[in-house]
Amino acid sequence: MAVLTAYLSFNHPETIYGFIGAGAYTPSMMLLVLLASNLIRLVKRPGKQIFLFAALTGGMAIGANETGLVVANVLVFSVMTYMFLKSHPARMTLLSLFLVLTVFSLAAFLAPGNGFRDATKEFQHEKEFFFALGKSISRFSLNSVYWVPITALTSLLTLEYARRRELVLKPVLASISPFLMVVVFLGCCVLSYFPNAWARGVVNTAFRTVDVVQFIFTTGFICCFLHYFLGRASKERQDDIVFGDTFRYVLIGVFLCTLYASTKAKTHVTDLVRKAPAYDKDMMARYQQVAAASKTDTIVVLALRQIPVTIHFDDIYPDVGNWRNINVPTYFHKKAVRLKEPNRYIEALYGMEPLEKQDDK
Amino acid sequence: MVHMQGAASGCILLFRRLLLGQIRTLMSTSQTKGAFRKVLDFAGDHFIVLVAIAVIAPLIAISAYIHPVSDDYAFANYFRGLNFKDFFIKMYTELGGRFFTFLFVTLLPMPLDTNMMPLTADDLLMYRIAPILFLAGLALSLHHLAGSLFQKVSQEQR
Repeated sequence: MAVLTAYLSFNHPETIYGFIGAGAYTPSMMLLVLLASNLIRLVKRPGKQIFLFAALTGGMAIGANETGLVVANVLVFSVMTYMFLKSHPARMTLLSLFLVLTVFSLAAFLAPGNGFRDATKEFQHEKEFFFALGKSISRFSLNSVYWVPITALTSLLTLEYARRRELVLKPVLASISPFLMVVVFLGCCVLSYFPNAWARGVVNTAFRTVDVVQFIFTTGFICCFLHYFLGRASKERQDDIVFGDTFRYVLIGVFLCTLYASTKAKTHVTDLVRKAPAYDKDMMARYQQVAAASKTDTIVVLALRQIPVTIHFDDIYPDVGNWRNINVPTYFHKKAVRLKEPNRYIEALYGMEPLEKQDDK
Repeated sequence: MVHMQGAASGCILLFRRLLLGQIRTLMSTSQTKGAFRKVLDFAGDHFIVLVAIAVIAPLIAISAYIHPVSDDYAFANYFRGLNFKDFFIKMYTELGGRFFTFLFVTLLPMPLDTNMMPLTADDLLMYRIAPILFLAGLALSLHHLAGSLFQKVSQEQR
């Protein structure tokens, strides 16, 4: 379930393969999952150790990126409110956790660097609450239409697997209303778009942020699905959900057909076998060329012969003045570098959303 | 574990039969049929896990060919010549409130002394291991969540 979820979630290579991009987004996904897990354990058995884990994972998720900040706070606030309404013994511990996370949130929100970044550009409809909320809802609605079918299929497969392994919900969760779970899950998904919509107004959501939202959606969907059906199984002595062999094989068949039809899986294999080794050679040749060049020349590098789209999402640009071209020569202590001819793939990738590329920094 | 042992013993038995050339008797004995059944059952039982491994394997293998991109160079340039504290303060005051990401960025596995040196595959080794660690981290965190959500059915429920 874990690896499949991860596989289904990522659309943009940077979410895994660029260290800085992945470093800002992938740990936030891990930390949010760990926070959710620690919250459940905290409710089940409030203790200092679990509290520390929850505070640490929550604090780190908040400091990872803005989506992490919003989702961590929504999660903790929802669980805390529910436990107060239920007069649960863990409510005061949860309140303390919420206060600790508020301090982390303030540290992220009031960072001087935020103002510095804000001052560099202005966007239409930026910092308009209702516009940002409306945009978040519409973006989520549009994207979820694409995400639902495959996620529903994965959820069914996971449920079938869980039933065969005789898994049931932990008692602490079985009493929670599935409706409430769905509301919190949808709230997290919609609000994941909010920071981007708030800060950048009409500008489209960055690809890697969409990957994070999809990950939250996939994980949340599967959890809510299993919570509902396994919750019923716990209550009704697991008699009501039995998958026959025929159903199971049909499910497996549909899933395999979906994978076969998906260009993603085929692309990964083609890239690995054919394109990536050629790309690697070209890149190594570029390093040699840049290292051998004089410090005063503008280095002109050749276009890549093969583009493995699974791992390639950025390149040098033909325009010496492009701000992205500054980083490579600075790193190698050279004057300037440019690409001989444009990388059509990169242009097509970001060309549809030109501001995305310029303002994603 | 019991399933796995059964499947393993089934595989060994099939392999031994094939090795000895007893193909004619292979399909006829009930013992062999049982072994086949065990292998099929194991594959069927853990189908979703096997598929997950099959689809994720190319993503892991392709990490051997990745290269740093503009943002990686930018942060390596920021970090060069600064100590940890100065780097963190610079990032927090000039780039935003992502304090955990800035701590994480200090682990950027790229050589900072590149004067007159091209990057080689050895220089990039740690950089290329990072995606595998990211994927493994995600899988482990989801496994932790599954452990918090579910338990095996108890004797009373049976």
